[in-house]
Amino acid sequence: MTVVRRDVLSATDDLDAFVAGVLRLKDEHLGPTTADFGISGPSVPVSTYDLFVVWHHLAMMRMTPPGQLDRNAAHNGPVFLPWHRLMLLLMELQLQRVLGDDAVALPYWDWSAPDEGATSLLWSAMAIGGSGSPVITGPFRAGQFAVRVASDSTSRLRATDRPLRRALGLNPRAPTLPTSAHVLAALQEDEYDAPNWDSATSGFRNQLEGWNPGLQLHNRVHVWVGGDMGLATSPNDPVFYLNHAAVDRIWESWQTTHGRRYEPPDIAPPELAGHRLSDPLHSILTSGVTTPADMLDVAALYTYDSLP
Amino acid sequence: MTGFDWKAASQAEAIRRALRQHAADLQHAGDAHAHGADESVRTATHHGHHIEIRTGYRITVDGRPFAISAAVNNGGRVHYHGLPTRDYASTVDLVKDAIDTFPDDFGDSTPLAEPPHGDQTGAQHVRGDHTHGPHEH
Repeated sequence: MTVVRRDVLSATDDLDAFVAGVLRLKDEHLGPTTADFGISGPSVPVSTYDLFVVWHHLAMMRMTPPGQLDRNAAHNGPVFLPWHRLMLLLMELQLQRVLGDDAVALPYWDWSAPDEGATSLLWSAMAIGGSGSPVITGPFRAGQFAVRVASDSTSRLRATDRPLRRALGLNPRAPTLPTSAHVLAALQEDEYDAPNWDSATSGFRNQLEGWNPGLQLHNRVHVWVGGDMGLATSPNDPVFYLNHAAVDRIWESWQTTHGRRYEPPDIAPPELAGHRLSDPLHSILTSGVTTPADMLDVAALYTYDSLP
Repeated sequence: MTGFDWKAASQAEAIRRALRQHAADLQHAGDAHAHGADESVRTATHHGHHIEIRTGYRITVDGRPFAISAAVNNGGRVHYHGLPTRDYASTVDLVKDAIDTFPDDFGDSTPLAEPPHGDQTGAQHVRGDHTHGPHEH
């Protein structure tokens, strides 16, 4: 069935379901342990929720092509949007499964709305809790929710057992969230992506990802939230999914205006493997192959209550 | 992806099957830090001339190697995957941010008695002088 993703600040039932589903996924263990993944530290079972953390990290560390340090299997390249669309879709399906409800939908956080900031209701104890190292309010507070796998300064994964960390608006590089003007500027970009297809190029993808112009939109939100959202293991903070649902919503809006098109095409050179229209998206949670082409039109699976 | 059974693919046994299928990839997940290369390669074409710039770093903190792969893009911005959603005009600022973000990784600030010989990472380095223009990279 087609589910409808709604604004987290108005769809309180959807927020409640999201929180409940996340907590259940943190408590579910399908068998793999940190030792199975070569993660240093005591070997402990990896929760279903944390499988997504491992996956995101692994994809980020997969350079595409090998031999350069920018474009990877999920970021800094054209595949950024379809890869995260797939990741969110799979998370949404997991929430539906553990809650036994096919109508569950990921909410989105419209961080470009007026007055969004550290005093937003999103950060209240009744929603997802607030800032802190550790976070001490809300459903993901210390004692109720733990980070079990985290990246270190050399981008290696380590088993850990610590509370969630946030630092809302405390990074001087991102004291404020992106605005609707930034969103509209990105939506006016007609080109999906452009050579050299990395973090320096022009185009809608790179503008939405937040590299050009620099530290805006998606990237800016990660830095603004700070704490665990600033690391390669950023999905440790459930707000990751609310941010990326907002990003995906902006892409969906762009597609309705500019068409469901994608670049680079399949005829692009081999050094763009992993980013071409029919190349497999990196995945550890699916047995089949999903491509960017498969992610261009997902109306049969979900829609948004509104588009920017 | 018409006709694909997403619900079936999301069941617990399907995920277990997928994890088994990707086991060879996953067993190195813990150490899959970004090390695609030990130097950045920037290329451009200008009036028909092909430009290639290779940049490598050897970074120590308190005399100890800080073994990261820092990349410089064509915009002259430096980033690394430890702090994946930001970039820097200065590699010094990048390292400062890393120290602030991962204080436990850097431990005691007492420098070593003498700097290590060679690079424990085995990284290759650009030989010769690094000429820095107006922007430090």
